[in-house]
Amino acid sequence: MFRPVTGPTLWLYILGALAASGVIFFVLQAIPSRLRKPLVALITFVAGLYYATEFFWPVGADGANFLTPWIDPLAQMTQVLQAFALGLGVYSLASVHLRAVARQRSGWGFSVVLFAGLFAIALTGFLREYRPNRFNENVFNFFFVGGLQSLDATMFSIIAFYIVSAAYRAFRVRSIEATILLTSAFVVMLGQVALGQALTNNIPNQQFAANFRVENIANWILTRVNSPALLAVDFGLGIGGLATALRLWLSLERGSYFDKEL
Amino acid sequence: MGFLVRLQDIDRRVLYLLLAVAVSFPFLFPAPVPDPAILPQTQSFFRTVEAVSADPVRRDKLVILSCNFSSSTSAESLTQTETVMRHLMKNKLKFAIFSFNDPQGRELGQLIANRLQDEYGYQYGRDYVNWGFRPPAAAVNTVKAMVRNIPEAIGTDANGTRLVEIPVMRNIRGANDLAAIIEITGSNSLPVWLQYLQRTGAGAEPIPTLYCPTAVMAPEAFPLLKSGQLQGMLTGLKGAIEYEALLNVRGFATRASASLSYSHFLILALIVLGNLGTFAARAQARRGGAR
Repeated sequence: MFRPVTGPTLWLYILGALAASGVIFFVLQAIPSRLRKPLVALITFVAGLYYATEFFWPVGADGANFLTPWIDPLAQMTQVLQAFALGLGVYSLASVHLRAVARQRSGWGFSVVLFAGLFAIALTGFLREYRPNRFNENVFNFFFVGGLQSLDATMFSIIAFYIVSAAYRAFRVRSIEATILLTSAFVVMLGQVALGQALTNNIPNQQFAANFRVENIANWILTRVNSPALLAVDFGLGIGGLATALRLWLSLERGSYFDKEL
Repeated sequence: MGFLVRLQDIDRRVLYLLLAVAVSFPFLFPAPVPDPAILPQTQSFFRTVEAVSADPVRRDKLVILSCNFSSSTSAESLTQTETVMRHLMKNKLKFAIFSFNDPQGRELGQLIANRLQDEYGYQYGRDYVNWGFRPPAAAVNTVKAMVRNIPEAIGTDANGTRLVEIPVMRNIRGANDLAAIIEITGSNSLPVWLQYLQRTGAGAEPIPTLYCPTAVMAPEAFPLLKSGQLQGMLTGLKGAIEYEALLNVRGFATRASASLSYSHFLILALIVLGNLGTFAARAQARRGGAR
């Protein structure tokens, strides 16, 4: 629908967009506060209505209706709006931690580390993106692969230690339910690893005998016992999600964020 | 009896140390582990990729390799990415790395591509492309727009080049030009593909969709395999181990098999010991009461 532009026209478009955004901003500020909520509700409703109508409206031979051409520009617009959220997030994070550093609150050193990490990865990322050369690539990899990737993986791996401790303490034969849980967990764990599967490797993996191989028992528990229960949970979640979506679309949601004065 | 009773309350630091040894020991001193049993969902994953490669029409289409994970699940997700990408490259399939859940995804996918491309004679732009990252909240709208016009919905690749100018994207327009969707994830990002793209092609058949979740997420996907919405699944690191066996490759996943086995056996042994301790304590209490 929209063609990309370059050169002076692009700058003209950017300036035009900034000017229009400024006007919209001041108009919204000028609106009395009692009218802001209905306005937000109206915009939310129209935005949601577009996608619902586009989905349900009959399509022609080309698989499109009169609303379909707007899908691409709206998708791009959503991406731009989401990019603003990133800036807002950085601003919010920076304001909290700058205050901590300025007032030297307890743990303010960690805030300094946060800024060092934030600027290091952002700066090296920009340099790699806009000044690509071997040095900038290596510096970025030093922070990304050597730093972020390793730290992230390490933090998540720590969960394994808690899982071992929790499994050791929780899986005890205390009641019938606990015993069923323990037995099924035991079999599924055995069926998950090559060494466990090797315990029943001598049983033929064909016909009736295959039912006694540990990986098949584990798979049976996962697909025939676990799956129906999960489907039931998912169905409940789906209904709940539909109700929540309708409430959001029609601006009926109440509670934190929704009842505050705009 | 006193020793047995103490088994029900082993110090957690001892447990941590035992796990650290069980996980790291096989990497330091490689130990032989039996070949894994290949589960049906792994076999169907493999067969789907093979079927796409064997079909003269579909093999010219594009595979979406959706890398929706961060480094936190790299032990599973990155290993899955490597083994799946190896299969795509081995079969000379064109693919696009894409991420809409975590910005790290595009980097991690590219990292694996950089590592493998020389081995298989792959070249960026000619054989594969990196569409980069799009914000999670815009994912639904972006994928909906991809149905009719991928170059317009995505715009530019990770380097800022317009998709229409990239050779591998030539003749790739919308959902009809997709050979398969492969979702590698550590979070709940699969529904976006299933709801908004999988069944939007002109053919009666849905676009083959393959799933690589972390092991803890896999049970949630079994109903989707049964309903035919997923054509295959690699269950965490174990799935990658099975896939390497199918590809006849001995990579990181195969090396990690011993580590995975030992750590699982450690947990099982600890559960047995804990219960022995509980039984011993109960027996001791009964005897104390009888006196």
